[in-house]
Amino acid sequence: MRCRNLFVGIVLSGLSVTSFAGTNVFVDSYKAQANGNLKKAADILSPMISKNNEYALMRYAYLQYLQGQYNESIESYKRLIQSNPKSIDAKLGITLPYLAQKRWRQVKQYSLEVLKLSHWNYVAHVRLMIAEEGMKNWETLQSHASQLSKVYPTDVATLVYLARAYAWQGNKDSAKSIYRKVLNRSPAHIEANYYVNAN
Amino acid sequence: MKIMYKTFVLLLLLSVSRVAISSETWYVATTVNSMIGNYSGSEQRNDLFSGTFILDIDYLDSLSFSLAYNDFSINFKDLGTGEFEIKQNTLSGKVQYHYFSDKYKGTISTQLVVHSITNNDVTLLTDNVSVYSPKISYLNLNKSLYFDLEYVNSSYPGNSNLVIQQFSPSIGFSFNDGSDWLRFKTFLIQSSDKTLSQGEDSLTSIDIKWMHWLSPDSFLSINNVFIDVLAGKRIFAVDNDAYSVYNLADVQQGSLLFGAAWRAKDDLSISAILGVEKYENTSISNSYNQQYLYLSLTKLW
Repeated sequence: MRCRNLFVGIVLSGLSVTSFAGTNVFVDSYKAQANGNLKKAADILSPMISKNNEYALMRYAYLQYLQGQYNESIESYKRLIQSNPKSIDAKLGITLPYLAQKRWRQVKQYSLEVLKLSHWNYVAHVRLMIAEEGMKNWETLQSHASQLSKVYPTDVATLVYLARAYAWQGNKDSAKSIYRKVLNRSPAHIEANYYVNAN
Repeated sequence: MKIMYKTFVLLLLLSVSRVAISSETWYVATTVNSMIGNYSGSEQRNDLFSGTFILDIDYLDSLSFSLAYNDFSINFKDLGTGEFEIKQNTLSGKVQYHYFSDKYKGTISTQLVVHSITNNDVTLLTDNVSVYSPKISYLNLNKSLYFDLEYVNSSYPGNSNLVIQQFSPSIGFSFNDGSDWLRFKTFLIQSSDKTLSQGEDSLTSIDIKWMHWLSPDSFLSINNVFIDVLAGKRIFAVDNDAYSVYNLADVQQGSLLFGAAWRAKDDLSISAILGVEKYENTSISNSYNQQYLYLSLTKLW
């Protein structure tokens, strides 16, 4: 009985040490990031990544993105998606380095994958609209933003994309009407004010 | 008529297979273009016709594959044996790989283009021409700076194994907040035997292209207009952007074209070009012009 208690004690103390060590790693990483040392913030996570810690790798991928190491960040996010295909976090995360590289088709691909898992995920819809704008798919963007504005009627960004889609198709009246709605929600909106005054 | 039939069949096949090939990772586009032209001042040539079908398949923005089929014909004047026509078919292929470099903040692309040409030239001089052309290019992330290095090797087995080598570096940049684009492309062409290339063994020319994008409410809803000027001389040149091999042309001494493009829909674009090219057949000291009208229709599936 004494041996069993001793064994449980050893296991529990081992777990708590591991857990504490992991927490320390994250605390140190957050501190390094707060001090602007992104490389150190990422490097600190290496032991956790080698243990296939999902959160550590997620954070590592994001820190690589922040450092402008977009290709490495993409590879890290792909590892995450491969090990957990249901991860909306990873699929949204990978769109960040792709957005930075202006690779709209990949942004579209992963945004749509998120939307298959969560139909009205706001972030995925916004990133998909960014991709549609980047690819100059104005008809698609108009239709998409129009549908989204029904689901998020107070959202300014969606209305701005809708207005841009109209404007790029030469439909000034509709663009102006939508920009006015933007101004109702955000009176100081620079783009909306500029368009309404110029047209 | 034959090219139109082939194009129709290919478009039909593509539309039927749309479900199979269309996804969020594969992008397919088809282009049909046609050019009609005539010659003024030529002692030998009457008119020309060209029709091309292009199939572009992209895997996201990493890999691109293209196939092009061109049907080309030139009607010649009666040179003593009656009027005759040279009919030519060109099959072209292009493979591109794009690498996004964080270090250089842009896209580095490698490209290989091949052309295979057959025609009914009775002299065999311009028949069975084969071309291969590797290229490396760079485009920055903002798409405001571009340069490339292109090499072209053209073999003319029917013309005593003449080999034409072409070096075509180019540089392009945008200005006016991205509303304008200017590109300079040089053509440095060397012939392995000048007696087989109208006495020319080394020719240099420069092509300057200016593109301007218009506002959405522009006149006739034109998306962009462009002007292209070629100064200098070239012979047996290859223009991979247009899938054109000038194997049937004489010494080109310059050209000028005006073009406009429309985006009818997100997935449909149209372009039109009016152009004139100046040539000289140095063998018979005959300078002449070629005028043409070019129309192109591209559909994304």
